[in-house]
Amino acid sequence: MNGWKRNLPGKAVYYFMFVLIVVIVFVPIALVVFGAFKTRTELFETAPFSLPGSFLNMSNFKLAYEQGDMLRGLWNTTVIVTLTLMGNAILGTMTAYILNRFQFRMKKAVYALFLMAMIIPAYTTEIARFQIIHSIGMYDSLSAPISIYIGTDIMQIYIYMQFLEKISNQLDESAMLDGASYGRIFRSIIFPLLLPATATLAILKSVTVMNDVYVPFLYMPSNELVTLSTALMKFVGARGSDLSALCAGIVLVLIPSTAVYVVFQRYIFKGLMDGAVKG
Amino acid sequence: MSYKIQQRWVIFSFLFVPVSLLLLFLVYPTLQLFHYSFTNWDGYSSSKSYIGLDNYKQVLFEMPDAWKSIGNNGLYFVIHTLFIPLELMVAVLLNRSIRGSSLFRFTILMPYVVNGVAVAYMFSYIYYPINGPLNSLLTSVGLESWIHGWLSDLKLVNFSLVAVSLWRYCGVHVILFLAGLQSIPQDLYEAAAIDGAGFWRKQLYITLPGIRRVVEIILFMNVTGALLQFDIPFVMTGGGPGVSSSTFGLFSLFTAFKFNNFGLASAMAVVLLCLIIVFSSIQNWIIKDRSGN
Amino acid sequence: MRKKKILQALCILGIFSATILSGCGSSASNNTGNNASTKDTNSTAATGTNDSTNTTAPKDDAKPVKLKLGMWEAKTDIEFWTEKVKEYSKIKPNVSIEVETIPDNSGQYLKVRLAADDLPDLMYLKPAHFQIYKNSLLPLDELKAAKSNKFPGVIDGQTLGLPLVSFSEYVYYHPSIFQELNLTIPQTIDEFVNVLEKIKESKKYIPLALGGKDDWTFYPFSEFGPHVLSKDEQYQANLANQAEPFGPGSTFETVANLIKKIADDKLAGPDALGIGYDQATQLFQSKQAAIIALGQWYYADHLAKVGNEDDLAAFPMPWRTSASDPLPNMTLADQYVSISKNSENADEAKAFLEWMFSPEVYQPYINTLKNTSTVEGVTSDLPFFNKSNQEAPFTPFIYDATNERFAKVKAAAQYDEKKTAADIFSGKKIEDVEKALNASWKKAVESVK
Repeated sequence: MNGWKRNLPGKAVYYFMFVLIVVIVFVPIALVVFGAFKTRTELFETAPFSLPGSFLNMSNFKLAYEQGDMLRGLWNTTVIVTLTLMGNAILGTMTAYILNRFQFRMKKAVYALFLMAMIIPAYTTEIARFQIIHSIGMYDSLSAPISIYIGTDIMQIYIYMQFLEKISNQLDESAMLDGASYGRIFRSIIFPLLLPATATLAILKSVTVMNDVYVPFLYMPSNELVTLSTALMKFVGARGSDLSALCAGIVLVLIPSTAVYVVFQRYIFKGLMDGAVKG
Repeated sequence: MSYKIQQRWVIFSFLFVPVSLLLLFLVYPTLQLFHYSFTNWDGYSSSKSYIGLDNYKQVLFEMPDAWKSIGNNGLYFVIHTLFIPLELMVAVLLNRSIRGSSLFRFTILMPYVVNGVAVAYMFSYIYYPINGPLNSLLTSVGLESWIHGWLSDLKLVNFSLVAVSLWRYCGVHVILFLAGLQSIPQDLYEAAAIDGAGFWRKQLYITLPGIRRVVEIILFMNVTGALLQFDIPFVMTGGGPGVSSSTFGLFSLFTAFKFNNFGLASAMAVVLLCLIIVFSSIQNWIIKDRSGN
Repeated sequence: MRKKKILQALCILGIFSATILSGCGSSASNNTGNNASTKDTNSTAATGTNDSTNTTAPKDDAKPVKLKLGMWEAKTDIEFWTEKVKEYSKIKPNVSIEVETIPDNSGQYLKVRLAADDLPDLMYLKPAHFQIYKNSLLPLDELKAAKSNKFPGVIDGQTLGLPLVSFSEYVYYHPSIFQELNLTIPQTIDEFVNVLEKIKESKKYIPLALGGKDDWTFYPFSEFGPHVLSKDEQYQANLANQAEPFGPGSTFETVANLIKKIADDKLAGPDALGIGYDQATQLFQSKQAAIIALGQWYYADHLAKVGNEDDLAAFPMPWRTSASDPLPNMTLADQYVSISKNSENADEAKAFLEWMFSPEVYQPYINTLKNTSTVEGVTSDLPFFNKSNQEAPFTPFIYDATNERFAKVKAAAQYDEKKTAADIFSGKKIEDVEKALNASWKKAVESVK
């Protein structure tokens, strides 16, 4: 892309957009962080864009932490996310592998099923789903949200298939000539080659799971099964707290997911690149 | 064991768990949904009676609020759709290694990573009428006259909410576009460059066809996302003032659980399903690959 | 060989999913063993006396019992019971009580659990919700607590719930502002509007703090107003039999006009629909707003936030047109505690309910919540409200909130007083609102037999 490097106006546009997007994304977050360190009256009386009087004012965080039960929420969320991601990656790659590499009679039907999953508004089917969860005895345990989340979805399958198309069939065939079983091909060729895609999808999935309020609310009423999202909801409550404490609650909820993102982002985007190069 | 038999085995065993999960948590509840939509069930009683198509009649002809809500969904759809070309442009620009590009990528996916409930509360604060950041920003640049009740003005509230939705979801689209772009082999571009193709020609003849599937996904996500949208208004306005920022999903949720008209709400959900199917089919028809032959 | 490997893979998968399904500890299915005693409702529980805790000495300490108490998200309430139930476990070591909160997303949460036959053992209910839950609730008639309760929730001849509190509605204000602006307590609706207008003219204060973004904050006006104005305790029952009750001349319209007036004249500040309950109370507490209309329950909140009641007084909302009429004030019982019919430990739940209402537990409770006692023989110490009732006396207006037909018609018409109020406040024409409302109401009245 030599032309690109010489293209100065293009670069200017690029950096202008860059700054704009950074501002749009981070300013709202920064405002909430400021709010979290301000006292109740400070928040009311000082300009929102002004820095808080002291970044050592932890009273809001203390309140949010104590009343929100954030630590337990973090633990439960971690357990749910980890198990969901593991299961989801396995189920997702297996499904995509089958749908991409094999021809069989029910293929269209399976496809249609996954498509259906995407368009059904979950909250309208909630009563029937609740009855099932309840009758299998998973109600009010971490297994309820996990078994709901773990299922693979059409978007995932699409993306896996996009990658699978780039993985040459010849690899499979030569492995078969060596006498490898399908299971082995999946395990030692397909699954590892899909890992970059898996990394990206895992982040997207973990975000969905971490952010969901509805399922944990409904299926895990016990206080000891609170998740980060429900902790925040509970903390706010109907006749709940004031704005500064709410800001602190938001910040506390943001920290873990942001931390995960900061740590793993290198892998996500690198994963995207590698997948393409190997394709 | 022959590959033929093994094939059956592997198809069955690999699909068993995912498919049964779907059947259990999705297909069965959906069948129930259809079933309920023909009844007057209130959502909790042990008895219900069949009332034929009455619920559908009511949804289609006698519920102006429901249609107003779906109009709001339409607004999410239209505005998000208008942003898709922009998202693609950003992705094309991002698809380079240039100084700062990794930070750029990091930033752009950030809104999607933060907790949705937190985002909704966050923007409630931004739109806050008393000493709220948005208003005080407007004041400081001398645009006091622009100050409005962002979440209380009937004409504005939906735009305020769509803005939150844009903030949250545009980044995902960009990243998905990026994933599609990255999957296009570089040598295609190099070959095109040798043939003397310029930047725009390369985008038109290589990029666009190369990311068709991603476009398909994003358009599909856009339709479903817009039609199923309910948590942003749910947390930020509760559909208010009145029902002015309600979406179809939120409205059916209230119908089902607040007013105990579960049968009616089920009919709404079925209508919603049909809408999604129709819209997605239209979109797919529009972007269909017609050059194939 | 290959088959073996596939099996191996399957096994791994199987183990994996098994861990997921079982490994995460279910707290729901703890006491399946106690089913036997469920149906037998009139044995041990009836013996509950004030100190029922002694008489129902645990027959079998070995059997641990876990009771769930579902309550709403009110901070003082949750904090009180979370601490208090620990004492119960000391008296009855085998019984542990878990306080859980019922998030109020339009009653959805509890209804889904109702549909799945999984209500908490004990739970809070609103009087208007009894019609929904009545078939799943245990009759409490023979309990001592039921006999000493002033406002038992009786549906179809059976006591299904006992209210923990009763309270009146008030308009809170800052006397200092009234003094400064030379205002007196309004006696009629018109005077009330006048007071608001005068405060507005002073340009120093927001007259009325209203958190219209949370549309429930309209309840003192749109829910109770038409009702009190009608002076009819059977208002709801009558409403359920009229085809078009929301037209001109109705009490609904009087209140709608009031709401419109407040909105049009900006008597609730520049953007009352943009702020929620939190911010509205904050405005009032920081003396930026002069008046706020809420229930008696707000008093405890105010004390907690402000720390004192130095500049606080209250009067009943003047729902009358002439100062010579008697002044009725909405007074209602709430936080009905009910027991699920399907509770596996119904007897223990009953014993616990008796304990909740026993004077040594109930007295500190009602003192903490600053509401009015519902239990004969227990009086709550409320100097603040006694004083304001002396200054602005009223006759309690108690109504039947459990009318089945009204509940059904209201649901079928999808009528929500608070959303309608927000609609009017946001500028919809009263005429149009009434027209739409009457149309759906008429259809609902016809469809509900």
